[in-house]
Amino acid sequence: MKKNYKIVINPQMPSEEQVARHMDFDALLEQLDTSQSESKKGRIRPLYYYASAAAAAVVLLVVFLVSQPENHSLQSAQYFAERPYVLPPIQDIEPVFSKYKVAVNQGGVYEYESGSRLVVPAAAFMDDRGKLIEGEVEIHYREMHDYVDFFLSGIPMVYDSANVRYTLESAGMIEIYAEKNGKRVNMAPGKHIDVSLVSQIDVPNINVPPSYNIYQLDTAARAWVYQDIDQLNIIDDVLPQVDEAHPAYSVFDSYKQEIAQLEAQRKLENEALNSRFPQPLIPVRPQKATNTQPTFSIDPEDFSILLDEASIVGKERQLLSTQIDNVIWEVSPKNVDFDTRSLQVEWEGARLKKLQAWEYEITYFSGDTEVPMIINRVLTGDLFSQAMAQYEEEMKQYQLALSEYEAAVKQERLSLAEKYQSQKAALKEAFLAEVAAANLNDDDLAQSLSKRKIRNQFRATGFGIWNCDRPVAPLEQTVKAKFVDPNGQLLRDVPGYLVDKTRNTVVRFLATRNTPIAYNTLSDNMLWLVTEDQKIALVRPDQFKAIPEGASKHIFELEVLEANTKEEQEIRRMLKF
Amino acid sequence: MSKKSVSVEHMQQEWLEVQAAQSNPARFRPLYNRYYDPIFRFIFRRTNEEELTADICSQVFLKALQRLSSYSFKGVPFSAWLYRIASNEIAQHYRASQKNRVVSIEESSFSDMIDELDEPVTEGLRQQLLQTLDQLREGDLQLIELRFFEQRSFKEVAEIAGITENNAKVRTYRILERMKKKLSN
Repeated sequence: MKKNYKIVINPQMPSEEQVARHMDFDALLEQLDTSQSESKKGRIRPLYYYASAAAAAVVLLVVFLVSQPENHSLQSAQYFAERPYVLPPIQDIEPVFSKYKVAVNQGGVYEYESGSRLVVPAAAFMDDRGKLIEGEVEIHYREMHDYVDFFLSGIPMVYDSANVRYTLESAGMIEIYAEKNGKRVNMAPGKHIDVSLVSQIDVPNINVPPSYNIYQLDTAARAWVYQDIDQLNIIDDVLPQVDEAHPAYSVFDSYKQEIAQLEAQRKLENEALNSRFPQPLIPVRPQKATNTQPTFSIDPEDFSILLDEASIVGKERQLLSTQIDNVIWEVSPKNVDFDTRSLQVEWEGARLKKLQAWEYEITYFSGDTEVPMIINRVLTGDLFSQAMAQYEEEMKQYQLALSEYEAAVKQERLSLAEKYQSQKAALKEAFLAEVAAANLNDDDLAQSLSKRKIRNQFRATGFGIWNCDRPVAPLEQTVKAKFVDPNGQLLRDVPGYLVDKTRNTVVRFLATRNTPIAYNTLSDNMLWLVTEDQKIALVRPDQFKAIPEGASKHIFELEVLEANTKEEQEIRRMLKF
Repeated sequence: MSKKSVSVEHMQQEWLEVQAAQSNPARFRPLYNRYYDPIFRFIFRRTNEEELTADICSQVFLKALQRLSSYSFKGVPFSAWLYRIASNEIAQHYRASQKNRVVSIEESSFSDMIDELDEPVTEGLRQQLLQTLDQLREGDLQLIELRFFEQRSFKEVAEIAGITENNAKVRTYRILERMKKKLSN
């Protein structure tokens, strides 16, 4: 009978090493490159034809456009399409980046000056070929909070959804990337950076918490891409700065002092509570030798000198001194580029420093040469079993003590928090009543009183620009605008920016002969163009208020500001309203 | 019998990795590292030649990278897609070489199958069973192989064969019934 299959009983399967010998991802990428370039070669002729056809189409389009009346949306689309999507309008001025060094194998938590926090996981970076990065990388991070930041950064704030062009109103934006030796690196798949972005927003109605989303800017697709819902928490009030000449200065000043006193009192009571109920200390789990990392021992005589010099005292010192003959030191895998030959060198001396639990740093030195390394105190065999048994017993006692502690302290903490919250609310109510009674007629102050400090929390799953936003529908009141300088000279073909004072955003547009300008008739609006010689030509809110109701066209007369545009503070002063 | 299943969370996590690789093939490395070994073994079971397996395996990953842009997440593990490419590559190799395809069977899983057929184990039955297996169509044999010789769950069998889990169960037991009938004749 003809056989259809070759049946093999109990085949000799290859070992892991045998399989691994055939793995070569770099060769696979090269094969891919070759296969792609070969398939492109075959397309040279058709591409040539397509290019010719495309060129002809462009010529036809240009002829068509020239023969047509000026079309703003086409001109605008063409103008911005020819430029980078993120286009800082003023050279050399944009929100600056802070830089942090990250040890890749450890990751870390980084606090920004605003109170924002980044949590970077270990092994989160890879190069262009997908290879994990080792050593240190430099994180570059910046925050953008208000319309001046958005303007200077050149980041567009438009969001197209279902053929409607929305403007994104921001509750804070960040840009983040990482470099290794000056070269950008990528985030490894499955890794993310936890971002906790502190910012400020208007919250006129405290009973209706604001809702924002998270978007990431795809600069290649020229679009914001929705990622998630913003986990937003209000963390505090924001009290505006009022100078001494202001009629309400004394009201603000005494309120600030009362709040400071209250906070100080709360801190004291918290400390008293902590000393009445000391938190039990968690026992430290003993470390077992891994058998994969290099180990070494330290001569007992040298070790007693090390202990004298190191700040290791009390029970731990006693333990280390008595156990010194049995202690094994293991080189931690946290050491980058560790050279085992350093363990065979005769060093002049060493310094010991405790890092945490069973982890120490030992620095060997000879002359000017120093070799620091992270080491772990590890145990083997019976010593480890005994230490584990003791640890488990201590852990049981700790769990018990912790439950008792939680039960005792929880209610006390809650009562304390409630007491201070109600005292703070009463102080604020009295303060707002005093401000209202002062009848200040100061809209700016009234608006700034509704500002709240917030914390936006989200996961950045890649590098780039991340925005906590909500889309705002286009405004209905639109005029076709022309822009002229004080000499009546037409200003056109330069980027313009429009801000509605009640929205934390900026709308970018191209100034043409008939630019549609949608503005908020119920608020203050301000508009400016950046001229070719990098000056700011400004339309102040009064001009918007002077536009006749129902007008379909308007000529804006712009004030060209001569001030220095090389300083951010100066630009902020110019654009304040 | 061991059950291999992939959680929804893991699949979604992996889909993010695939998306990353779709925009930059270099980011395919973690997926390559994860699946090279299982795909290699899958092919080896069907060739029993190390160098040939390495060649086919390399073709499988090259094709996967070439077609990655068209891949979309449909609720099954990414590995199922790789196994299907591997099955096609193996079939293509045997069509071109006009050789008989290798079927690898461990003694223990062979006994499991005899248990499933509910037949008394004798040397005669073993020989008969081998002949019956040899008469199976490629598609039927693949189901038996995945389920009994590779100890895969029906869920995984279904994902690799591109059918529903229920269909995989029904078809496998129908094949077993047919085999049983042949054995009793």
